[in-house]
Amino acid sequence: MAKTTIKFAPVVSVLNMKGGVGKTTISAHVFRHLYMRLQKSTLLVDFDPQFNLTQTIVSQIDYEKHKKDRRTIQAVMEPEPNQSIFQVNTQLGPPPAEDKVSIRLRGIIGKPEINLSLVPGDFGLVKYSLITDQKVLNPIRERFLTFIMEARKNRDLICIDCNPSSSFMTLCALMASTHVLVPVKPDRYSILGLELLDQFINDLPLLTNKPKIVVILNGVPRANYDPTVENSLRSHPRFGPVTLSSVLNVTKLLEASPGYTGFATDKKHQWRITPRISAVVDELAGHLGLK
Amino acid sequence: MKDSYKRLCFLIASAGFREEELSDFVAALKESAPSEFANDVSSARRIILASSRKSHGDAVAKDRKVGSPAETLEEKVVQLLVIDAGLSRGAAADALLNSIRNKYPDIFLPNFGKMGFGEWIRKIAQRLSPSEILHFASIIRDQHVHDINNDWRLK
Repeated sequence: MAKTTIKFAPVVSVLNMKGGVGKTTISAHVFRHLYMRLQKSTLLVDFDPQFNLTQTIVSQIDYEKHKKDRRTIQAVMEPEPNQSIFQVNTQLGPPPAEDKVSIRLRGIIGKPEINLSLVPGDFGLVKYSLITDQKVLNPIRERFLTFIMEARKNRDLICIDCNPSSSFMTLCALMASTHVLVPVKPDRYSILGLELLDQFINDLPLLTNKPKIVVILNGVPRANYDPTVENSLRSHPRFGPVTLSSVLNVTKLLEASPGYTGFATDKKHQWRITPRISAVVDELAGHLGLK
Repeated sequence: MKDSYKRLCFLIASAGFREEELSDFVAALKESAPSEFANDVSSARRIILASSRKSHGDAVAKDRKVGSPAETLEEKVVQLLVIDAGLSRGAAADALLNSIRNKYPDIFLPNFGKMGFGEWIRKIAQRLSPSEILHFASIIRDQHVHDINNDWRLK
């Protein structure tokens, strides 16, 4: 009998040890555009207790409804919430199916199998940063990894928007990932955050399959640009060959704005940034093996 | 009637807009600050220029505003090797070819020859990722330019 081989989708964690470098912006807008441009079934996972990714693209009213239905990342980690934020549920069982915890954001007419969905974030995740006993957390990590592994069978791509800390959740995301997309702003702090992340990945004994790093320069000014940081990044022996040649410029269109919930590429003046995001998507697809 | 207004009227007329589209345009214009409209026109100009670069290869202006970042792969390589390192385009191409061939002796890479620099870079990019091309170009740049920098840097 012929063997059927399952193709597992790449999993990209968007992560930098430095905050404010555009992780959520990239998770939302670049991956939304990738889904449409390359027609890849994409799952976004908001894995940051601050859940800014969810707040960017889902209205508050809708989010509260999803949270009440336990349609958030918290349900992936544990079946029922525990009363105490210092305790976890010990009767875990298998993780839920992806369609029980995700919300469908976009779909392609005539191709129902290709859609863009989100597992919304949850402030409840913060409890995993407060629990220090790793033995307690290990079963939860395994449940999350099983959930992602199952989702990989049905998706073309999974994007995990991470919190900028070296926490339990960062470890979970890295263990689930094939790639880490590191946004870097052309400033001294975010490039050093890249180095810390690389060190963190290399020093983690639990991480037997090291995810591949891809770097993207974000927030490059259009005028009075000092390319010192970019030059040092591009000539670096490890990071240079994996730094996308296309960059994202400073633009208000990619910033969160009061009164607008949704993707930047759906905004009225999207045509100003879409060509730039398209160039990033095309290059990123090559690194992820999606072409 | 102001000359610029008249020219814009002719331009809009030749583009074949419908009346309701013109009304939408005027309404949008009223909502926008003059600087915002000027920015939109600049963005459109950049997009047109980028697409004409793609179709016309090297037959484009080679200058750009001082202090603005290089945008295309060709512009970035020219910035690193020609402007920063001070190499001629021929010497830049030779240096880049040598570096790449040292690491990847088995990849076929076309010589610069008589083709335009932009066309040659695009041919190289069919065989090597743009990330790697810029990596090699940056290393060559560093050999020619010695930045004085006491800041924290990547190790």
